[in-house]
Amino acid sequence: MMRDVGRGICLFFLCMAANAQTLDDAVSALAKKISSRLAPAEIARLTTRNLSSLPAADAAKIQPALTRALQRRVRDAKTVDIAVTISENLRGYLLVAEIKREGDVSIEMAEFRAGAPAAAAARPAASVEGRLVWEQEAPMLDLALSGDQMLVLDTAGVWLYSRNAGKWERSAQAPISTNVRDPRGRLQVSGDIVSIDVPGITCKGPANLSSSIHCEEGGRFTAGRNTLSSDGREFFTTADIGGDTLVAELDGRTHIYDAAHTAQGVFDVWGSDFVGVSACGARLVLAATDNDRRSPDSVALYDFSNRATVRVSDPVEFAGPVTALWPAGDGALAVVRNLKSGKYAAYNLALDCSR
Amino acid sequence: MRRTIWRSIAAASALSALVGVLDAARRPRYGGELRVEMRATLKTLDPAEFPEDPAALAAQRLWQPAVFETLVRLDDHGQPQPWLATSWTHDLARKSWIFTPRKDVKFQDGSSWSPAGGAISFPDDRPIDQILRELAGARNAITMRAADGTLLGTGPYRIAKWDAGKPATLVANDQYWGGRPYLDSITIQMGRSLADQANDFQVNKADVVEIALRDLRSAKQRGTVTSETPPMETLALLFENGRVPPNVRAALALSIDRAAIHNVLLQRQGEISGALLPRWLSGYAFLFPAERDVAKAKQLASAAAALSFAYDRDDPMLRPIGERIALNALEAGITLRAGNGTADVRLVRLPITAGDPWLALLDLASLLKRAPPATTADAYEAEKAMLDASGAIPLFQLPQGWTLRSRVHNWPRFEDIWLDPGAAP
Repeated sequence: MMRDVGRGICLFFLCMAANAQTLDDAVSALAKKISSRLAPAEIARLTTRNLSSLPAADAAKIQPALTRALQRRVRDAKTVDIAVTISENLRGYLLVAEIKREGDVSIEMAEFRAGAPAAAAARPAASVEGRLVWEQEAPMLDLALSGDQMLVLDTAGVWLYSRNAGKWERSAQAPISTNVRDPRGRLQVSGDIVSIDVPGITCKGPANLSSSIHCEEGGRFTAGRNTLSSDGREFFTTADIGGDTLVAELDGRTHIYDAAHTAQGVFDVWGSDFVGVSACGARLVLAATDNDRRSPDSVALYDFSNRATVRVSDPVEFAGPVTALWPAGDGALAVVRNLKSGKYAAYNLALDCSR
Repeated sequence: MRRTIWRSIAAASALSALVGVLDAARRPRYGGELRVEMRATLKTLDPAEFPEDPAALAAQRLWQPAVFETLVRLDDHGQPQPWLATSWTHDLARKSWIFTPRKDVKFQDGSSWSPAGGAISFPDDRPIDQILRELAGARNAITMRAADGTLLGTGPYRIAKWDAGKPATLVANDQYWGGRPYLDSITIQMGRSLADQANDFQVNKADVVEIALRDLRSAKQRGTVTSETPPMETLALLFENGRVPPNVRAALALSIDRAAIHNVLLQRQGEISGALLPRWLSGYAFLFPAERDVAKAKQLASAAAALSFAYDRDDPMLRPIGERIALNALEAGITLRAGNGTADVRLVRLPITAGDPWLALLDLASLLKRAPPATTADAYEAEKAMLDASGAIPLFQLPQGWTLRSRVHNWPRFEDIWLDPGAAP
């Protein structure tokens, strides 16, 4: 059964690939269709126009390629006018040929997808560098790296990977499923013990997953929600900085509390995820941009002197929204959902104060 | 102020998988009630029921995915993706396609969705892409009738109240397999005129209301938060009783000055078109002519009898367009007389209900009371055949617009909508 399912998936993707042919494939397919419509004594006279967003350079290749493909030597040839329109729809580009003969027009079409432009490479900022650690399909919540071992927490559970000859290989797993929209989770390794928190559940066990992980209700994340809970209050993130506590609250703003838990102010600059870091001789904050979760995010370093946010680094740009940002070592770990591939990527954000 | 632009469209409901751009950007907040108003009156969300009123059909297709789900869904590019079915394969005899159901899916009463035999099969009588496309259609949503007669689905919300003519209420399905939606509930006021909706929005009685196309631009200029689809509605003339001969229908099509109506009455919103399906969906709409040729129209319409002409006179968009069409027709020698009830010609709004040409044509065929397109037909041939058979004259494809309170995020992706308490009222 498993094999059958696998084949089904393959068939599905083959089917999708068949629809997503290249420009060259589409030209070739359209030429064949047009040829089948031409009588032996007919030759094509082509005109093309571009009604699509296809770049002019690509569009300009179509007429010569079609002309070549339709070339034939015929004595006393009769010319048939063929108007080719480059159009587009939801699924991609479309070549539409109108084959015109004395009051009769027949239509042929071929679809193609343009090559996706290369994703913008993450460009490290002057003082924050993002290094890709791991990438996977399943929604990743957190990751902990220790030498040649890596623990990855995703919505299905925690997975242990071991590095073997430079490649990460999965060596153990503990299922802890979470079924929450905008899921969150935290993985913390202390010595040989790993603690895992997902909404409504807290777990503890050996970091090498050699024996079972013990889970119980409770923990830092609110059950069925995307918030953290503490003292009966819900919030998204908190960070201690210079005697103050910054809290991303449910109103979407960042609130400032002093050491006596008295409200000191509120501001609106960051998103819901930030991390307090000790770096460059100060307590700073790494914060994700205040973008929509369907837009690419960046993370930048901020100083919070005098309770005002001052950006002190260039932003590290990512290819998608930052879905998690947790403290890691002297920097942070950012999980990014790549908008093009749909994959989740974990980046180690390291700070460089020498620049 | 914020503005939502819909960049692309697809999914089982054409409206449910849109990629919106909002600039609010925090983690979504759980809780709250969303108050929505609309003109249409929809008696039921039951996928088995097909509303004959185009506006009700558009509303049904918009709201259905909130409650009912299909085995596959169309993605932003109109491609089928696993949904309630996670994979599919041939049986060993290669006579059926076997679909594997997603685990842990529950109906909204908590009972498990477990197809008999642990799988669902369909005869392998057609290519798989045609089968998938059909399964993505709203008519093929998975439903169950509870003992008390309640219709249940597997979607992110369950129907708490839906009585014709009364406000409907959807409440969050806590056991939704994709995670509980952010909102606690959605209240839908139906049968509200655009003027009433605007008033309710003004006095904070509604969070999302429809907006007339002609008001969309000024609303944006005022800084009101709006959401706008690509063209999702085709304005067309339909011939109701078969009394109008083909030459007069052709003459009427040639007489209409679409460019003037588009420039002046529609303020250049939407697109001029002679096709039923908009260009973003088909890519070939330009193949259907939409040019005006009064001289040819006069020739074709010589000695044509007067025709009765109907449209919704309370519709602030249809009325001036209807009046202009009557003037244009007169220039070609065709008299259109205002009529009520059954008419020779009717100006209507036809909804584009799916992100797949074939599925959209299937609904249009039902509305136009024509045979459904052949499952094997290519979209262009199917659309051409439907236009030839119905004689319908498409005129324009128009976007749909809403005004939103700034606290509303991700409209209209129902499971992802959330309310920002920190936003301005």
